[in-house]
Amino acid sequence: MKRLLEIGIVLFLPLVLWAETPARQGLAGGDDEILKKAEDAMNAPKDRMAEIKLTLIDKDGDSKIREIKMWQLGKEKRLIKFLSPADVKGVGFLVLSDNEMYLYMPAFKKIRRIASHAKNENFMGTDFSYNDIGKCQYTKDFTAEIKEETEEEYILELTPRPKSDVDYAKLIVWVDKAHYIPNKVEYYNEKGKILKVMKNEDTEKVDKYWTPKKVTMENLKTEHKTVMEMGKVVHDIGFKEGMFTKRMLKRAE
Amino acid sequence: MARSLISLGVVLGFLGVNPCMATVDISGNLKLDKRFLVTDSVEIADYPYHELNIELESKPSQNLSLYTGLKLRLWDQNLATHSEDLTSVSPVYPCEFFLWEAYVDLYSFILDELDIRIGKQRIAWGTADKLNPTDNLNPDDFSNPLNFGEKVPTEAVNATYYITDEYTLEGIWLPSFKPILLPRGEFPLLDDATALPLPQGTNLVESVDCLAFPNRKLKNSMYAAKLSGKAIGYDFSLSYFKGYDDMPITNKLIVTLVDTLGNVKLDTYLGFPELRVVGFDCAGELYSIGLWGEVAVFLPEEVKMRMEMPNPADPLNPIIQDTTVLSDEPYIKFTVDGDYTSETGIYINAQWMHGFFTERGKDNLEDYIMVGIEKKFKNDEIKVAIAGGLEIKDIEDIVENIEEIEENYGTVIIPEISYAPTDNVKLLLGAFFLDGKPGTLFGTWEKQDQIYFKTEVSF
Repeated sequence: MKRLLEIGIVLFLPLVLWAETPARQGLAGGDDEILKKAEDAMNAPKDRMAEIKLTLIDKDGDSKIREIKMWQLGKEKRLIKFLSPADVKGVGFLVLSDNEMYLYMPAFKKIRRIASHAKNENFMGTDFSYNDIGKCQYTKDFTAEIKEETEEEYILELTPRPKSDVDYAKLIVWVDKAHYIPNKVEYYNEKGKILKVMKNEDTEKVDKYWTPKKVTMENLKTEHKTVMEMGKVVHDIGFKEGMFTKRMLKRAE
Repeated sequence: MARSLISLGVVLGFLGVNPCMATVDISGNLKLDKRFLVTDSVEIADYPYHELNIELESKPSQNLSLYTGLKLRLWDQNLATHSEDLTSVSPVYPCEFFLWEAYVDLYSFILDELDIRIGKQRIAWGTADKLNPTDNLNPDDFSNPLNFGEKVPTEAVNATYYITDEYTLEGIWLPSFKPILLPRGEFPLLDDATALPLPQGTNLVESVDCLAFPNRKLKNSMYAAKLSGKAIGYDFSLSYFKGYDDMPITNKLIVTLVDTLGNVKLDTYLGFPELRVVGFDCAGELYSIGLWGEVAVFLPEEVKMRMEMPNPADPLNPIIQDTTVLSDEPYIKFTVDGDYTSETGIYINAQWMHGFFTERGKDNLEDYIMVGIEKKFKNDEIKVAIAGGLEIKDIEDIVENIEEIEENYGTVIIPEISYAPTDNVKLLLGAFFLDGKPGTLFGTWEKQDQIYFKTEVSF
């Protein structure tokens, strides 16, 4: 009997261990692949220029509008210029990496470096954080696990990697099987309470890349939401690194 | 005339300008500022002003940009003293309308990596928040002395060469010197010459002062250079400025007897000493905390003050005293600044500053510790902020000589709430509460306790 037990352990232990491998858990490869494909789909263009209208809607239905122009190179480099309203017109925001951001304030003729503590702050009163704007980079901070699969979507649960600097305890992401663009993202806190919901809508091909033309971010606590509508979008313009410098932060329009 | 037109055409052609296509973008803002002094009884402060700013901007081509900023300031002061003054608008509604900024930007001028800005401009140096010891190219604007860090744009040629995407060399020529702007009304900011001890038995009945500016010669032009770059994740810059101190300093006092009763007249002569400043600043972060630092080594010209007083023993030979009012010994001003936003959205900014704007000379610099906390509500519509400051002679006294702090300290508390009911409109309600021992900066301003209400509208 003892011998049988030993044989059983020898035979089944590898299976038990396999069941707990990182691939199965989504720690490396596996479900993370779907997340990576989603990230790749969102970041497929080499560069992008977009004219964006942001509509801020409060719980009473009152709205405010901001217009921005954004230039993007790769996954991280972004240059944003505010076109309206008048009190923020000309303000520029440059992101070179997670911990290298600059703000240009024309009223002070000054460029100010912004530390990374600000990246999870609301972006100019919208429900998007500075980190959310124009950025889709989940795999760096999260691991994924498939919670459910429908005919059209993978539903992934994302949990933060150890030591990652994120404000959320969990994300649920609905990834469209057709083009891997996330259709919806729910953001949860440590108590398991849902904080924000982001929806990507009107996804269509622009210059051969799938692009959501409307993105809505809703804060469930404040009942405030922001609708981001893409106007003109152009991909693969051929931006160089020199476009994403303090020189252009002052100049770009 | 024809030659001028051809020249203009060549220049515009060189810049790729089609004059017919240039459009002018007009924007601006209106800032209303009302302050009530609340020390003894509630009084309306004299020095604040309402301000209308109009900005005109045009970009005729990719490499050319024109900017003009017009400013109108209106003071709530009544300068009318005679009935005749009531026949004119200006004494009752004093206002000033002036060209605040006017410059041309030439991008990629001759070289792809060279940008030039020519004209009346603000050149903001330094990385710290408002209190920048390396920011000495434009004179201080103390028209409202509680708007810390305001500067007046001045004429300059500013050439910036982008060595790489990260390294920049800036060269600046400021052809002429411009002084500080001081507040209207009573606000103690500069040393008061009339506070000097006069000979016994004399009575001051008249005081006149006279400013002597540097000659408007090319050799008296001011210039500056700055090298900016990046190292170990920090932005840094090294700078050098040669010019003049924008704050006048007394270099001659003449006390004259005007009668035999001991009444005297005081003539004060003020000049602007030469000044060189070597600066260093940096900006970066440590564990997500934003960090800024600035150090400026001031190399002043020595200023001696001559005082001539009546000599009762020998009326023909006045008593003459020479004293050094500004030593040529170098002195250092610096600012260390850090900020952080908590997970709950509370923003904290802390700053340690050695040497205020108006302080100069090695032995006259005090330490200021400022801490500001703010929190935004309703998607940034409402902002509640409170800032506090402590002025002490020397920060080492906190550890070594606490009694010294108790004898020589100043404090300021600035609570403020702002509300943006709609886009482009901001309402602010705030207060300044100042206190301090005699001889401290905040102590000399303690009668400026005030409540203010501001409205800002952008268009």
